[in-house]
Amino acid sequence: MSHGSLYFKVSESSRLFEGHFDGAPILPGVAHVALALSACASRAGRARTLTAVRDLRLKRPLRPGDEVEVVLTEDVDAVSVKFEIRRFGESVTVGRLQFDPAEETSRD
Amino acid sequence: MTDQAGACGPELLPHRGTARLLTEIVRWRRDFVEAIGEVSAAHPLASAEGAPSFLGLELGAQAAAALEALERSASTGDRAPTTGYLVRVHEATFLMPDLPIETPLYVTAQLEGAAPPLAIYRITIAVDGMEFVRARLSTYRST
Repeated sequence: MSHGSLYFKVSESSRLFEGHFDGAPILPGVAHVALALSACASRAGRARTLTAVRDLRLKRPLRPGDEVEVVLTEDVDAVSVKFEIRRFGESVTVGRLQFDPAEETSRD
Repeated sequence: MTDQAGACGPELLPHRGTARLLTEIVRWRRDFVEAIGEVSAAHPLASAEGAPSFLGLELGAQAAAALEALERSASTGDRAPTTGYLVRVHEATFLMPDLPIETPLYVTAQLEGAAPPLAIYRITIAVDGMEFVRARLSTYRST
């Protein structure tokens, strides 16, 4: 089991805020998944094909300019990664990503 | 089945521009909606290859929110949209890695249970009869 943290700033000018929502912009929930995927790709040095999401809990919204830490923990089966997004140490989102096993094992 | 097919207008969802994925209500009843959505090529998560399938979770959440707005409008006459949030994805399976862009995406949302302001839906996303995404998710409707 390995661990890793990556840090991101949610750009104030991200187009993901456009229309979501007028006057009260928050990052769409799927963008939290995109953040976690970016962290997984960065750590693996390659893109990974997402096949499933399990027990994703969006506990707090992310707003323009937020700085976040994405903490990754690989499961024992090596095709799943648990993640937690934190902002100033406060848990924002947790979940588990599952990747294409054929793609993962072919790279071992 | 309630016969109220038509465009998904601003009275149903507060999303604007590329954030608005849901385009049309096909049919709905108290606990179920079938609708059509589309990912614009200009969507920030879209690329030439398509859009990531997990964007289907947002489309499913929008279908669920539209169903709540339709039900509220039918029962109280209130036609103002309220903001809803995706708060949990219990499980989601992506049968294809990408959703096609600028292509009709058929979405269904079946209400499984509710304890307002929380509700649980089972959603599916299909293209030309082929399932791309299936998921079970929870939404929170702000008051």
